[in-house]
Amino acid sequence: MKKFLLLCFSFVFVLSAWAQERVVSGKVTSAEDASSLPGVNVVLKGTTNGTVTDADGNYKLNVPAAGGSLVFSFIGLQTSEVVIGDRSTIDIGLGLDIQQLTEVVVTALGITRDQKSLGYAQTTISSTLLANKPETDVGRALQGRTPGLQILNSSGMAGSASKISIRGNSSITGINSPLWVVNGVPISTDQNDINGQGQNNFVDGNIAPSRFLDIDPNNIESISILRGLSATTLYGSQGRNGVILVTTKTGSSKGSQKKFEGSVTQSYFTIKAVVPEFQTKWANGFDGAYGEFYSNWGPLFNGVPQQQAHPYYEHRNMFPEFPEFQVSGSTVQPGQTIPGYIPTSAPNSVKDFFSTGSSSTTSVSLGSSTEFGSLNFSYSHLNETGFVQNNGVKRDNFSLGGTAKLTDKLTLTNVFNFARTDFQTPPTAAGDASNTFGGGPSIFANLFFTPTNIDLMNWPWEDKVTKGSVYYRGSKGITNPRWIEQNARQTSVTNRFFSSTSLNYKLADWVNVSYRLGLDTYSDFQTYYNNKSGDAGFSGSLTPGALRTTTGISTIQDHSVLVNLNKDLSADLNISGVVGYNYRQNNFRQEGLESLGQVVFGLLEHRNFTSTLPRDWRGNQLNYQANSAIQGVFFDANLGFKNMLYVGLAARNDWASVLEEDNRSQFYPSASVAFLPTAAFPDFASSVLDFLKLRLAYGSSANFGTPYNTRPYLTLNSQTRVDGLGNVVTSALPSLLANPDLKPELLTETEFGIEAAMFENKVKLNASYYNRVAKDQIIQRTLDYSTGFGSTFINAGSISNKGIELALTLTPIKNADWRWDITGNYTKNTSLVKSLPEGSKSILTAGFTNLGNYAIEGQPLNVIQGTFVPKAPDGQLIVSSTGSYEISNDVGIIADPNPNWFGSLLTSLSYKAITFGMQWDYVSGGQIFSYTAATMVGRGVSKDLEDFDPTLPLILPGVIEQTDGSGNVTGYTPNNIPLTTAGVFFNNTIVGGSATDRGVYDASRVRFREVSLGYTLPKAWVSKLKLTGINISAVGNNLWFNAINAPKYARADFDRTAYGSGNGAGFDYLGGPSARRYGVNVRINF
Amino acid sequence: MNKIYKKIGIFLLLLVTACNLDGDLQNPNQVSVDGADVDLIMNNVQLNFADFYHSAAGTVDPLIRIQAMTGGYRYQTAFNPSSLDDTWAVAYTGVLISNQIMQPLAVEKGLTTHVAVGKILEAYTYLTLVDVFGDVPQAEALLGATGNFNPVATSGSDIYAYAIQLLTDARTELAKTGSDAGGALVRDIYYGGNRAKWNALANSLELKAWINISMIPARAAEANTKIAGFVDLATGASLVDLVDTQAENFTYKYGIATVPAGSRHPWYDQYYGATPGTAGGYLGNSFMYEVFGKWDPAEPTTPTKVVQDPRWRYYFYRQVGSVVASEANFDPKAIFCGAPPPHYQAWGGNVFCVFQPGFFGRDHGDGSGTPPDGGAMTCVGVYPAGGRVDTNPITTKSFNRSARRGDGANGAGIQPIFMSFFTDYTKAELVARAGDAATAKTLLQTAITNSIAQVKSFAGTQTIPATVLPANAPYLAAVDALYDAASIKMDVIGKEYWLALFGNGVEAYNLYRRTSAPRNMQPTVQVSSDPYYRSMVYPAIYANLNSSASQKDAGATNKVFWDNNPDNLN
Repeated sequence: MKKFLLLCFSFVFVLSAWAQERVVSGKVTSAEDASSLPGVNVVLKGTTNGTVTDADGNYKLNVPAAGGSLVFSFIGLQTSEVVIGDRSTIDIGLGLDIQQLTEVVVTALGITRDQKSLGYAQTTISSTLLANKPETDVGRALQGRTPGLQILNSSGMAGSASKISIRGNSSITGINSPLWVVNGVPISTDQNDINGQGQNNFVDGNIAPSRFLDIDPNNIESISILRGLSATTLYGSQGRNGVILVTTKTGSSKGSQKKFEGSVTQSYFTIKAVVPEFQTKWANGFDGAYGEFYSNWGPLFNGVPQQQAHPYYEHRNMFPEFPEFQVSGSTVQPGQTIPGYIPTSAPNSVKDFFSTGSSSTTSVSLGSSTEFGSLNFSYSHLNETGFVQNNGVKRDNFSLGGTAKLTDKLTLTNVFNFARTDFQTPPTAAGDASNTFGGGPSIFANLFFTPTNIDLMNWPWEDKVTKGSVYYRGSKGITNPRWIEQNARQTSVTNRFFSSTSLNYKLADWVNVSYRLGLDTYSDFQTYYNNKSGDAGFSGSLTPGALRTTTGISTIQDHSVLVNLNKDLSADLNISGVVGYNYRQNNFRQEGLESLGQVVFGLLEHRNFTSTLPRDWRGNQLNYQANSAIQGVFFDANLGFKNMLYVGLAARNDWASVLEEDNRSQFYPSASVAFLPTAAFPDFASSVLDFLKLRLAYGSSANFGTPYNTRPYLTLNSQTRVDGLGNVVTSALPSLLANPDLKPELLTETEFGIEAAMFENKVKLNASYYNRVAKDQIIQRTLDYSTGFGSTFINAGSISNKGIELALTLTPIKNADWRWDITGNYTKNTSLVKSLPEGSKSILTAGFTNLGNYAIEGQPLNVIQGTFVPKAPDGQLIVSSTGSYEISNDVGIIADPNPNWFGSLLTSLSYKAITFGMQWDYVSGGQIFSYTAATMVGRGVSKDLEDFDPTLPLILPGVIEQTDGSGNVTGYTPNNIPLTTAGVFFNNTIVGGSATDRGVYDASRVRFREVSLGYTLPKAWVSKLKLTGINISAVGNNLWFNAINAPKYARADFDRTAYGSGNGAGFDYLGGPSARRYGVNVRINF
Repeated sequence: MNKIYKKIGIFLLLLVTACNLDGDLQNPNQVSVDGADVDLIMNNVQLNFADFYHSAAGTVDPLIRIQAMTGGYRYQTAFNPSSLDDTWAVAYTGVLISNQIMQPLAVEKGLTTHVAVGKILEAYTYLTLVDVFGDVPQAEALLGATGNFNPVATSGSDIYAYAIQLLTDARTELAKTGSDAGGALVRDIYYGGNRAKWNALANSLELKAWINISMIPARAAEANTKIAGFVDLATGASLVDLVDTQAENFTYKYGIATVPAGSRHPWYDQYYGATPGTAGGYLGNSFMYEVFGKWDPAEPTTPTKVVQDPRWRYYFYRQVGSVVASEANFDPKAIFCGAPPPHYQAWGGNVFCVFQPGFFGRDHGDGSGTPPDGGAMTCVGVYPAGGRVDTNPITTKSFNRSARRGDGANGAGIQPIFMSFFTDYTKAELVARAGDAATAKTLLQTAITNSIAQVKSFAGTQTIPATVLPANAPYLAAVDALYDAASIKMDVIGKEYWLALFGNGVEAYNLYRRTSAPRNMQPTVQVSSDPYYRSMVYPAIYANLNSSASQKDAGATNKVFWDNNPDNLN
């Protein structure tokens, strides 16, 4: 380097000595935003006489006394030629070179390519769009940033899981989550919930975070999203659901621009729950009469004594400080004159249950580069507390990365990341009334129906002696949610190390060989517990106190050997490519114990429990391992012709250890073409059309499934039960039927796209159409148990996903001071179950057999089947002779959870140093089965009901069947049978056992996803502090949403999914509210 | 340069050879099929059979009012198809497939007891499935491993024939002696490996099957001939060895462990919670009312004047001495009774919501919400659930003692799958049907006496003071009087049999469909046009996942193949 510089200097010196006539100087700026441009080449045309601009964009060049032109050039910008004439100062603004559009992007295996040469869709999201985000989960920060990506979440709780799907779900029962690759190395993003085991077991699980929570958003340089199969072929089967490529700052090969740079950021966000609004007109009861029910269909708050005892009457002796608890009812003591309890409204019970959470992040990053290499360090600390007590995430991320030029040809690049994530939450799993489906406690299942006269936040919740739950129903079915908040918990502490080490040897200018080792290993220590003396609302096994502890150790080793080639075959023809081998091994092992029967209240150690087993009380084994390996060879070749035609060919062959030898190999090719008419026919480009690219791609991928599905085995249970004779040891066939003939599934996709830039780059369009077909799916087919088995993995069925992805960016204003960008993203995905295994009418993909997501031939994937109210030929609902709706005998399709389309609108307006941004999201259509909405209405607590008087009768809209003597339907008459208000709202909604289609709502929704206001302090001020930049921003997230056709005050957020990261969709089972976040962010660069 | 190539080459070679892809095929967490142990699989068959029977009985209990039907106001809403999945799953993947893999292993080793017991339990499972659901997969069942994922149902009568054949085959195995009999069945919780008792059960099951078949006119003659081979219809004597002594009772015996869960009687777990006052589930009011002894319509409100059933203090445990909260000092919110619906007056059964002293269950089809009544509801007693006996005088109103875990026999109850007194009642039924009312009456007296004696014998160390325990004689006398007065003798026998079938809804459900007794069952709280469920709707996993199956019409009666009774059951 030194030598080179010396040579250059001496050359310049010689030149200067040769023709020292005059000096031209000036400043080069960007035509787009008037910023100074360093490093621009300034050359006297026709000579080698030239220079580069300095850090402030200034240059100075000696030129001959007369004549000559200066050529200003810089990669990505339009080359400009200026006649010098007699000027001594030439300032120039350089515009973007749209023709070249040499945006360099990261593609599969970290290979950098020109955006224009790609034959498939690819989106890059830069750090500026990801940092400053109130979301600590990087997955959620991607929301709405690119078409093709749908992101749902379990709730707004700190650390709750997210579900990301790219181009729909391709697999009926397999994994549909994209692969995350950090600095070229695949990492595990499993959920590993110990309260469910397996992603379909949502009945009590799905509380633990998705493991991409371990990624620090502040350390992200960029994220590339590869959506299509042709883009992800090189990743093999793991890439079939799309790939999210994360490049961290410490792992960036760019290194520092300067010798030393660093930054410190501090953010603070406030987190608030979006809580339903409650009616304040009537009290607990049923049919207008006061009583202690879950439901709230009692008498009006009119000051009339109810001849009943106070809701806390049974606790009166324990809490003498509440004299009102003494109020008894007149029927209790015959002859006594006590008039009984007068219900009064406690409207803020649920609202005040929620506190204000906060999220604070501090991060530091430092970087330095020398001629030997570069070194980057980052550390960040997150402390987030959720909107309920005992929910929070603490996370520390250390990262150290660097590149060292060991010799001229050998380069070592290494990134080490250490993440410690400490998560805790009260249990929140799916439930429909009190507690979870699985029989465990849940705060939210117990909270939202709180009757309006129950003063949750002011009345006691804890027994003074036993510390057990105290609540309004004495001890039947409902544990006080405040008790659960304090006494039941799920926690996860993860220590994670992931690193990428690569050794790169340059064999020649056009070929280098590299070896890369990726290691991702973490230990996940999880606990699930509840103290003793909760009410028997949840399982009797748990109420005496329970503690489950597990340690899971996950290790992924990923070895790659790559040979990279890049050669210009001629002036017009360039070939680049890679040939490689990859071996990846996944190991997971979990050890765990569960103890039941707490001795001393509060102490959560196994020794404090009376019995301990290696499985949970439901019978799930807590100790198990799962190992798999996959190896593949692959190549990727790209031919570029005259910067206008690019052809890519790639293929991979995988061998997977999870299938039997005869079936374990799968070959899958891909090809893509990109053609740039504007480059091929320069005349084609006009003042309107700056740039046009047409692309066409075919891609394929495979899926090998999960381990241990091909060989039969027997289960063994050494302590099934202790019966009258003693301990029973049993052995049996598992409910999973082994299938030795299981083969890999093949996914194919064709994709067509257009990229265009118009009106001097003021309009940019990126559109894609894709058609993906997954054939011979590896399906976990749920079986009728009369086959002898509960499920088996088979190859069958075919799913297609066709879709359109559009991104349109407009820049209506762009000058030195102002810039306004508007981006619209549009995604439409249509899934279709083209065929199912022969003889199967439907396959359950998630949920319960009588209310769940199904794959049904000719229908979109995941349609919901449940019972429904039969309809008369004119579509009116049929009412039975009791005045309530009829219920179908069998299940039928009651909803389609797939949205018609969804999109986002992002706008960013900047004036000088001030930037204002907004993001709006919209989802059109799709349906959701929402227990939150149904509970609020059906149990009589939502403010939506305030117009009703619960004491008056109502008649359900519908018709009654008229039949002749032999039972044939002869006609219909309008329903005229009155019901009580509770009879209408409770009995004829899902909470009261009516047909399940009564719980389906249209999921169309609009959301004010984000607003931000940023200010970059003037450089002049900053530089006095010897800093390079200070940026302050205020950000608000999820500030408002409206599910247009759902009960307004129930505030049910249909972005939530009860299945966590599982495959199902369209179910909301009281999983918890979503969160609003807002706060400030300060970033200091030095 | 060469060196580097060599190094890379060696490295690549190491890498490729290191990749063993065969190591991940066998599940490292479980036993390989080579490790199959016939005894452990037999344990699984036996355990699952008890669970299956309990589940099947629990499913139909609400239909014959032993437990209250509370899932909904109508039959259709009360029985959700997915709530039947467990019964189905435990039958096929618990009992039947385990038996299927055990049979060849046992045959190979010459273990005739294993073979016979497996066949008997298979037969019992299929008979019960037909009785509860009607036609179910049998001929095509359990063929998942050969790819039949949509087994077609076999008709109930064919399954009955198959079961009878299994019982015949089992007896053949049991007839083998000496070295032909093979090794013993060591861990046999039902009969301790006693082959004679298993033989008695096989006979009783076949008799049970023929009695049901005899309801079909076309097959009555054939069935009656068969029946006559088991029981002397003149005297009621057993002609072959039947389950007719207490030692031959076919019961599953539960334990007392809290962990693993499920060791105790499931009813005990339900009613005797870890914390007091957390009892769950409801007993049927009309059943309790009958057992308590509501025999004299002339004195409907004075319980001391009527004849109490000597078994009620073993069947039930009252937590409170009175249903009036102030009298028993319990949470006044626990019990909420509205006015009896008008059609209850017409019914004339004289029970609604609660009755004194301190009985609180639920009426048929009361699907209303659950108030905080865990401390007040009447719980199951020592028979068969292993709970407490009720020792409190019925005059003590202030009594209030919530059931809690550890009480009574601590859950060491039994599943009364086939009791010897079932045979006694059946004999009375058969003899009465044959037209000999006098002998039938004697047999009924024997049946009741045996039932009372056996129920009492399950009390173990718990004793009921003689001062509060109802004597047998007045009860037997009252039944006698009713019998003599009855025009249809079977109505009295049937009602008595029903009262003895506490804990075994399957036999009670069969009895009701076979004989229409007990008559005048409590109607649903809300008037509904739904017909009585003459068989259960199919489980959701069958109806929704099997393309050969379709769900039953809830508006039809859906009788099982042997049900030849009129449609007017309620």
